[in-house]
Formats: sequence, structure tokens, C-alpha cells
Amino acid sequence: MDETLIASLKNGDMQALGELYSKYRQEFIAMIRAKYKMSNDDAMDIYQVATLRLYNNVVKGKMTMMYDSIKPYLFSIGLNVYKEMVREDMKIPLSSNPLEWVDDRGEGQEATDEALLKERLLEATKKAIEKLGDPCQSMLTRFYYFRASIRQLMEEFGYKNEATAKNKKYKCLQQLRELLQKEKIQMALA
Amino acid sequence: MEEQDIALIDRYLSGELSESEEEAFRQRLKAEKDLSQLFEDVRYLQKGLERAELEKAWKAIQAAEAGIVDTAPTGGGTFSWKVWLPAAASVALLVIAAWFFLLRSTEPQALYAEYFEVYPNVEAPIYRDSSAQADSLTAKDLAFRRYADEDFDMAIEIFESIQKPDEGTLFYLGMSYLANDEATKAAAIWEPLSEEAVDYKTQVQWYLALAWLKLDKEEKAKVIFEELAESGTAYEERSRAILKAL
Repeated sequence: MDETLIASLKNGDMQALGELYSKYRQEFIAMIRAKYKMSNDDAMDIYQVATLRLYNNVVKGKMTMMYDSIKPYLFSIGLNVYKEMVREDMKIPLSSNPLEWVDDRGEGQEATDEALLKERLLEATKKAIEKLGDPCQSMLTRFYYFRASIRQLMEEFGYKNEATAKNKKYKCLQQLRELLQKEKIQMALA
Repeated sequence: MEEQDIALIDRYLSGELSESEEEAFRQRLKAEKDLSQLFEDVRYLQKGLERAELEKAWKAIQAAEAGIVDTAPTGGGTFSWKVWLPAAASVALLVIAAWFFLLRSTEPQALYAEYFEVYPNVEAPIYRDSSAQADSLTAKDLAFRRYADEDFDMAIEIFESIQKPDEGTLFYLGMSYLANDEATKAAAIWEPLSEEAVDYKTQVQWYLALAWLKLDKEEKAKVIFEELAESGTAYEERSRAILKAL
């Protein structure tokens, strides 16, 4: 059963993600609140971030092999998120900036200036992606995030052969780079 | 040439290069400014695509949360009859009153009143620490701010001004109408959307069915509740309860 769920998550199935979230939510919240003193809202925040991190790990093939099913893996991620939160003395809810918590947080954080610049560049990238639209956005997401092969792109997007799919993917990337350049200029002028 | 370089970068990012190929690639990155720029672009675009996908996943998690009725205890404390007895008596009276009310009326509109609650904003979260300036906000952001403030008249006005609205915008436009007691307009938006929606499909079905209840279109509502009752979604149990009451 977990194999089916993992396969669905790897394919970006949002309904499966919602079902996974609902399935273990109550049990996780009860577990972590019994273990550590915290409010229901904090426990829920941790669980939401843990679910997002699990999704990202599964898609990227980073799910540790020592876990043979989703539940213990999800719960261990949740406990790690809690420990990281305590270590960083978090005072605001994690859910106010969930994407920052997707990757494991190391002991040291990046220098502030560099982190800010990266953040601005990623914001410019986000705007460029929004302007790109489909099918380019879906195609590039399948390739660069879900690690679909050119052959899979050919099948999923209905191209005649791999060369056409590869060429289309190249053109989409070029289009996105052009949009990014425009956004970078806007960012510099702002 | 650039196409070949992109293929090389893709292989590097996927870890497909051999040790010697990887070393040669790193040397070229140091020596060739154009390649280095191209590499940076692809890396940022990859990260940006990842973020866009994770934002979608975050919305799915928030939507799942919004569909859950929380039964978890929220606090400890010692039990005291002195405190609880009057409260329990009040609750009992309320339950009896509600029971009489339900016995008297399981009319569609009563069911609507029992089950309707405004769907939370999970489409464009407004962060508490947001430092966004008013002039950098999009129409959609502004509409959701009005929606969060329950200023549905203004939210409707802004949602309707959005050119080429996506399904999220249409869902919340309908929701603003329904929250404003304009069920006919909500149903007019959601009826075609219920066929096409992907991300908000079950939410559209649920609220469209509630809108039909409000409009006394019991048969139309039943068809949707019957589908939701077997859907395996967060609305399954509530749909069954409504069907039973109808």
C-alpha cells in the first residue's frame, strides 16, 4: 500500500498528499504533544512542515531506505523539525514560511547578505516561471523537479520522438531564461 | 553549442557524469564565464521550479487541513464539577433545543445553515510577517486580503476584475458570493467549474451542493452529495450525514 502511495507522491499527486496528511495527523499531534509540551497549533505546524518535507524527499528520491513504510519516516521527520525549531529558538509559527523548512537545517546559517540576494533571485525566478505558463512550465517541472527523462517527456506530452521532446524542452528553457533576464533587470531597477 | 552545454549541465545536476567528466566540467566552469552564467541560471530555474511545486504541495496540505474537523484535546487542567456542571447543563439544553429544531426541520436551508462555513484562504496565504508594499501586490493578493477581512463585496469586485481567472480565483469568487447570501450567483460560477476543476474539484462540489440546498434545489444537491459520500475525501462523512437527514 505504501508503495502505491510513494509512487503517487513521486508523480506529484496532490490528492494522495492530502490523504497522507489527513491519515496520520491526529496520531502525530497526540504523539508529539505527549512527548513534548506544546500547543495544538504548534504541533499542527510541525506536522504540516514534516509532511511537506516528506513530499520533497520522496520526489527527490531521498527517502531513507531504513524506513520500510511512510508512517515511521514521517514521524521521524516531524521529530527532527521539532528539534530544529527548538535549536533555533523559533518564536514565529513555522507555517508562516514553510518553504524555508523543507530542507534539513544545518547548524550554521548562510551569511545574511548572500541569503537575501538568493532570496531575491528566487523571487525573480518565481515571477519568470509564473509568466512562462503551460506546457513549458509543466514540462520543465517534470524534468528538473520530478526527474522525468526525455523519453518520459515525449510520452507525457505527446511528441513524435525524443529529439522533438528534447528540442521543445530546450526552447522552453531558453524562453524561461529570457523571462528571468527581464525579471533580473526589473529587480535591479527596483 | 549552448544546447549541448545545457545537456551537459542537466547530466551534471542529475549526477550522471563520470568522475573524469565531472572534473572536466568543473574546470570549464572556472574558465568559461558564459558556461558559468548558464549553469547559475539553470540552477536557479531548477530551484524556482521546485519552489513552485512545493507551494502547490503546501496548498494541498492546507486544503486537507481545512477539511478536517479537529477532535484533538487542546489543553490539560484539572477537572472540576463546579466549573463544568453549569456548562454541561447549558450544553445539554442546547443539544435538546437543537434536537427539537432538527426534528421540526431537516429542510434543505436548515442543513445549509448547519454545514456552511466560509472556506479558508489557502490560495494566497497572507503571512503575518509580510513586508510586501501595497503597490507590489497583485489584484489577486488584494482580493484575498479583502476576503480574509470578510469584506466580501470588495473581494467580489476585485476577483471579477481579474482577467483570465484561474480555477482558484473562480472558486473563491463563488465563495464570496455564497458568503454574501448570493447563492444563485455562486451556483452559476461553480456549476460549469465543477466539471473542469482539478485542484479545487471536491471543494467546488461540496459548496455547490450546499448552494443548491440554500436555493431549495434538493435533488441537484443530492446528486453531488451522493458522489461525495463515496469519494474518499474529507467531505465524505458530512455528505453522508446530510443525505441521511434529507
